[in-house]
Amino acid sequence: MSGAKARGFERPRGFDAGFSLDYASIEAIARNIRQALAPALKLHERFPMERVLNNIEDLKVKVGGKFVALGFAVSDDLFPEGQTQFKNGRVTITLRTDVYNALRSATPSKKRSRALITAAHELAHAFVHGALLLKFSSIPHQDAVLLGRSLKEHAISRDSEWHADAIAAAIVSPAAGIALLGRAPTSDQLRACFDLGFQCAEKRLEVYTQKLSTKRFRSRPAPKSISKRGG
Amino acid sequence: MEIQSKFGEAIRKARRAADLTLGTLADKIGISPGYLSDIEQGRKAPPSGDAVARFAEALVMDLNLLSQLAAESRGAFKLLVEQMMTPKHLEVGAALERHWTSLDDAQLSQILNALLQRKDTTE
Repeated sequence: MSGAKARGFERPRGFDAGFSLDYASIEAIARNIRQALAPALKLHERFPMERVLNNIEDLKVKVGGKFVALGFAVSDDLFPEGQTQFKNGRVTITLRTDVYNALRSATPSKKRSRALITAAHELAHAFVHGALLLKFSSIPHQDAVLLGRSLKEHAISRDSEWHADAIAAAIVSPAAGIALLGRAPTSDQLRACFDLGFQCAEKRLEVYTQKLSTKRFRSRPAPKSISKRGG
Repeated sequence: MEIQSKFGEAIRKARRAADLTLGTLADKIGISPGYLSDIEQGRKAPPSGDAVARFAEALVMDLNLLSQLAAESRGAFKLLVEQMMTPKHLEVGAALERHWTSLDDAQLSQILNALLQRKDTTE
């Protein structure tokens, strides 16, 4: 599974994940992932992605009904910006070197914001798409991408890439955190607070305003555990 | 191709114990995070010579142990000539290099015993 170039939210471009998610479920899943990865992080703080990835081996995720270890790697040779694979009994998130370096940069930039979302996108795959990771574990990555494109259409709410995009946005900028910015938050506030890029902040604000700004969505309980620490 | 890398595993464990990220350690060593990650994952062979010494320094690890792990992971050993302090060191090193492939089991055992005895007396 890889981060695609265009982060569109409307057209299916991944696999049928086998289950449907709505924005409220996505918010709850993201809250659970955030809690597992950075429990002390406040809702309106920038997500410490490099540190989180460094410590990711302390966690396990579910693949095929079993908890398996998580791993993190960086590669000079990767074609997509990031990918998540189940291999040798481990789910490994790999970022391309330039993406990882952008993530580490101390200076805010479009590249750093994009790298943050790319990494969160891969985290979403690792935590949520265990069944797909298992299914495609024996197929070379590029073949799996081509296979996905050749499959029949499915609803956007079942699309693995849409899931990962939406969960990534919710990990990095949770609705409950946006709510803390005031009654009418602006995209500039989202950019400054969560280190989002311009387009991503605009899109996130649109989703927040239209789908998530009511108390009903923000208060939904998190789903059952999708990860565990150590062991 | 992925190889079993004791060196990579040792580096990864030491890096995590020292709470260093891939990027921070790569900066200290002077290599790219991608290369460091490949070494840790066993996708690339460990470095040699100076780079191993930089790893040992950055992670406060025993250089001899790390050099041995690197050599085992590479499947090849290299005498560090720059660390040979005396003419005798050079003479023995050169003799080892010259006769290495023709040494039989008994001769290898003699050399090993001599080295192990030295280790015993220095501990």
